[in-house]
Amino acid sequence: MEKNWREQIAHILRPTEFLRFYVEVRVLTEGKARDRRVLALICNNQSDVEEGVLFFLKRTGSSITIREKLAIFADFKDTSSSSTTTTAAGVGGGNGPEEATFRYANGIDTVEFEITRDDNMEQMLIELKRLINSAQDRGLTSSGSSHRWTHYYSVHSPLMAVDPLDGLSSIGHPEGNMISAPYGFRKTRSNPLMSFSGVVGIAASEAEMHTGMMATHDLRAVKEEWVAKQLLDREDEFTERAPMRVFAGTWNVNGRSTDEPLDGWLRINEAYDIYAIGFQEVDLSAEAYLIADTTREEMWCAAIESSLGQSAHTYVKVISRQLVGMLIVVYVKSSIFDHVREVTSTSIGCGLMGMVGNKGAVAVRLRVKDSYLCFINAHLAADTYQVERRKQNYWEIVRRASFPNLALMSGLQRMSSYSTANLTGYLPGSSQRYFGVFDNDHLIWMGDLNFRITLPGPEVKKCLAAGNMDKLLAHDQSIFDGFEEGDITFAPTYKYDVGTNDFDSSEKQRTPSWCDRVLWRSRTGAGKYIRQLQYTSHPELLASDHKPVSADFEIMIKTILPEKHADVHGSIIRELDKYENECMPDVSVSRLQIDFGEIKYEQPVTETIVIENVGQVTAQCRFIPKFEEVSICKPWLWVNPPTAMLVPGDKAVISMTLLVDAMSAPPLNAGEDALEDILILHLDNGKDLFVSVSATYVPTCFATSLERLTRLPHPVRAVSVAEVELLPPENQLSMPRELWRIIDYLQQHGRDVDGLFMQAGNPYLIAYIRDCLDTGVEFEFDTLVEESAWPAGETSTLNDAAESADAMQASASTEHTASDATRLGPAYSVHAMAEILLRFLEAMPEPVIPYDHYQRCLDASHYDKEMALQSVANRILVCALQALETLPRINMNMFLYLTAFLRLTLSWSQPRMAADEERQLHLNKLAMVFSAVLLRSKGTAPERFQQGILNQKQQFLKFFLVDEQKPPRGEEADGASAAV
Amino acid sequence: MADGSSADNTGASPSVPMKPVQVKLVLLGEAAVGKSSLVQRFVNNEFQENKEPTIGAAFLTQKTYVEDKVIKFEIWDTAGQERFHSLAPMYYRNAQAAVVVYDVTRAPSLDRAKSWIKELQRQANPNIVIALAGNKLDLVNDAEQGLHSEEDGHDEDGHEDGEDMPVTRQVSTEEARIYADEAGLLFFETSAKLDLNVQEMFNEIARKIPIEQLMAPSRTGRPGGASAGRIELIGNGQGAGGRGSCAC
Repeated sequence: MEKNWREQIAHILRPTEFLRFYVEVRVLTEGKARDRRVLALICNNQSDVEEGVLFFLKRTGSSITIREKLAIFADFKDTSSSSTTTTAAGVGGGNGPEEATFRYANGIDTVEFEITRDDNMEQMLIELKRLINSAQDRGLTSSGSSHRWTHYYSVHSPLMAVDPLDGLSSIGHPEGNMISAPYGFRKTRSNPLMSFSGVVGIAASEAEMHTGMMATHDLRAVKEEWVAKQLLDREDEFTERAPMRVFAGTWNVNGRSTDEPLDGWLRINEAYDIYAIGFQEVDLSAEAYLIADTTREEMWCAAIESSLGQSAHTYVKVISRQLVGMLIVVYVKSSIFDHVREVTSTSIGCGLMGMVGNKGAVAVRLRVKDSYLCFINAHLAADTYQVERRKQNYWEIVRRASFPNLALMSGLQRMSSYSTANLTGYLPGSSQRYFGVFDNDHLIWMGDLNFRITLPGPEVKKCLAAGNMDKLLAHDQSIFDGFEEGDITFAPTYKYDVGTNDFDSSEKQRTPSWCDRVLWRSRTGAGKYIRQLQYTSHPELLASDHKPVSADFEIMIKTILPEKHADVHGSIIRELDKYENECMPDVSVSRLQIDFGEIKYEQPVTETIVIENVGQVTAQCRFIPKFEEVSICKPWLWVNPPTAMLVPGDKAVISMTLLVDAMSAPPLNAGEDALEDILILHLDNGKDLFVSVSATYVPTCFATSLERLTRLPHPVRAVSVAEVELLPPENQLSMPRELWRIIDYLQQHGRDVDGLFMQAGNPYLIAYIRDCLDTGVEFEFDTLVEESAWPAGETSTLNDAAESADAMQASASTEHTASDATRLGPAYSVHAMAEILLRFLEAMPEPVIPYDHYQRCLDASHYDKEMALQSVANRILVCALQALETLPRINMNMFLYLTAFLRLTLSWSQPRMAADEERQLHLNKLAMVFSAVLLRSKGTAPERFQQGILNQKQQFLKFFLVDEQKPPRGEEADGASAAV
Repeated sequence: MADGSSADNTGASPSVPMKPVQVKLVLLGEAAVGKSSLVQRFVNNEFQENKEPTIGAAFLTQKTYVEDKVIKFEIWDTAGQERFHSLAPMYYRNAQAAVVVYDVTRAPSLDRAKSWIKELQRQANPNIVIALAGNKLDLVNDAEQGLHSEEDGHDEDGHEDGEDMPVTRQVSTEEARIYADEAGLLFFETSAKLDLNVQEMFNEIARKIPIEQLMAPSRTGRPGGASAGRIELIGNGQGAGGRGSCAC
């Protein structure tokens, strides 16, 4: 667990920061104990004072997030109320002997937390006090320039919405914007390390680290890397190159100074464009470890400048960097000075405790025109047997050397003359925040690398005397796989007696070796642009026990041609976008236009379409509502299923059923709407397809307003809907002609039919009758029935309201009808006609008793119930009639006409019934069936099915069905009938 | 030149500029003016004769680069047939950009384009950047020098109306540009077939997108921003109009 925390914290840190300590705490919000956190003190000593920041970390799964961040400025203090001390060094107010509470504030943020009083807390207080004192001494404040490195660590607050700009990364990982610590970028960026894994043994564990980091790597960066790689592969298409001469020289000066001229080593006649000069052991004094002393640097620079001053060209110092004994200096010819940009340096100490710089490296990275060059001056561990230590030094330098992306940080990028957005790696305009040593076109690695010859000293000297270089080189310890080095044709550069060209004559008799080397390594594909012209040592310089080495390079420096670059970049992006577009879901639909043909009222038609996934990825498709609508289609259409999930190649059959019913028919009958709709089939993350649905509607008198029916000069289908001219109001019919035809037929043929209105009609006959009504054609049942094409009678009942009451009666009627074969025809047509009547009334957009009269009619029957005991029968009827009187003329006509007809049917059927109870039951059933269609509340209110309301409706209708007002048989009868 | 010795204290808060800004762009215009062809040219650099009409709304994405910004166009290429008109608001609502296309050889298509533009200005996002594109420049005689002559023999399939004859321009550059300037639109005459002005048009749109507004976390408080955007838009429209005419 402990180890885990340390490792995990190390994971999110950049190489420039380190963990001082960590301790578990409980962060408080509004005084209440909240989540456990780990308080980590992270420090950076890259400037001349150690800067600290407190991170409050939370572990989520395998990753950790920074939840609070508190930089240690001069005004950092503990503000907890119970504490009287003003610095963190004071012990905060506690919750008891074991817990202490602190509230730390730095002028910007405040964090309150609990901590267990123990040694860890003591350590925290000591460290904090030290940092606060140091901050106060240096006057580090939030408005100053210190602590800028802390900006690389972003705080992830659980309350904060996901960064809206960070959509991509948040898709990739639920905590997508969590590790924006730059080390995440560094790790994944440094893929070149992978190709380099043969160098040292610990590469494997690094590889594991890579995969770990990939988990938190956002998609965008992956894509950028891909684009950058493509660009680099095609670099030659958009760059032009011109040669530059580069000098790289190294000398271990053994702590000495010299007045010997350096002209020979620096080869001042060669007119180099760039000088990169590395020294080791410029300062061997004990103080060098503690104090940054620049006098030695100044001395060597003066010596260099003195020699360069002899040259025909003028040179300018670009940068120097010293770490204890290691010094690197870069000069450029003044004529190319303007082409040198983004110069950064770094130092890596690998000496004592891994921090102090008696061994390690200093390095410079710079951009020359559009090429990136990196020079490393290293001093690796000495002694023949320390090969492993040298490998470790090498690896540590590779791992820890990081150069900030100056262009990105200073906004220089915006000033560049061309658009280079979205590049990473070695091209200008990279969004990478840090670069490693391999993120360059060319890396030149020089220094006292302490490679030894693994032969006894006398034998080495013998070989040298004999000129047998091959044998010596075969025993050279060079450990730099993956690097190139010129042929060594010079004598070993170490160890000489100072002031001579004689090998070490001291007691130690050190074996002569090629310690001082210059190697190089180019980015993949860039090797052809660097050429070594000369590689030699300079024995004429006698001041040190090492001889200086020089390497002469010609590097083809590139210049990006902005327009060509944009072209190549554009084509790469286009290619990428093309793949992305090809990976969008795609489906084909068997047909996008569905014509249902002629559609008649209440006659459903089903068509199917086939959706096929023709794309390369899973397609989720669904029909979606149109803009500002809620349903996916018009109410007369049913889509089943409305969604489909298809893997590539998969097909789904979608059925579409078109049914015009009483609800959807009125606007269609009125010609105000048509059977046309467009459905949107939407693919998630993809396109939309429009499926057009159309049909030709055959209008009907059903579900047509009374107003329209009574003003139509002809049956509805005698003329087309578009051409119809309505009768003027004064010529309006007193009643729909269709109603008259229905009732006329029933009057003529219904007298002897049992179970009128109690039995379902044949659906084919019903459709036939509807056609006759709509077209005005005479009914000709006889011919139809004799064809005996009709299926047997059905036993289902007429409507919902009558269902339970009718069940037994209906089955009895069916038996009766079936046994009386001779009357089959007329009975069937009568039952069909009876159902037509009910359906016609039911489908009326507004019932015979209009909606705004509905309640009053119910109240009239209600009144009756209240007053029943008064036995004033006439007053009941009066009330009902009063309710009726207010109806529109046509509605009243229809109502009276219908009730008169119903009384007629009662007069037919009741004499056939022996028992009074049977007659009463029949009356109740008739009232129930008709009250359900004549008295309707608006919409589909549930009251339709409430027993009390059903009773009221029947009661109202019964006033008009009973000739003489006899006192009702009593409420018991009603209740009984309803309960059956 | 920057002083490179400052490796340790150059840590200004880094804002990564590469996040693609998503811009919803809708293509509108009469049927068969070449909306899908313009998109195909822009996205895939392809051209296909006698394309099937778009029944629906094709969806494609394409990134483009404006200075140091990445714009990811999410392109909705809508069906031009009039019966689908009522569905258009689904696609232009929330759009930050619209390309309204007409056919330089069919005057009525410009009228249709104008009514689309009116609708957009009335109902779409007030900051929407609208470009008017007069497409099929390859069909008229004054198309780019020499480019047309080689294509002459290839049109035996004819166009929508099946004409074999050389087609005459029915909308002058001048007329369309004046309208575009008045309405505050970007204006280009384009040929998806010959790849004339297609990239240029989308790039210009990308440049005119008020990115900062899109990147702002909250996009409420429209009124102020909207009016500012409108003023800027008109200015841009005039500039682009001039450019458009140069290209023709």
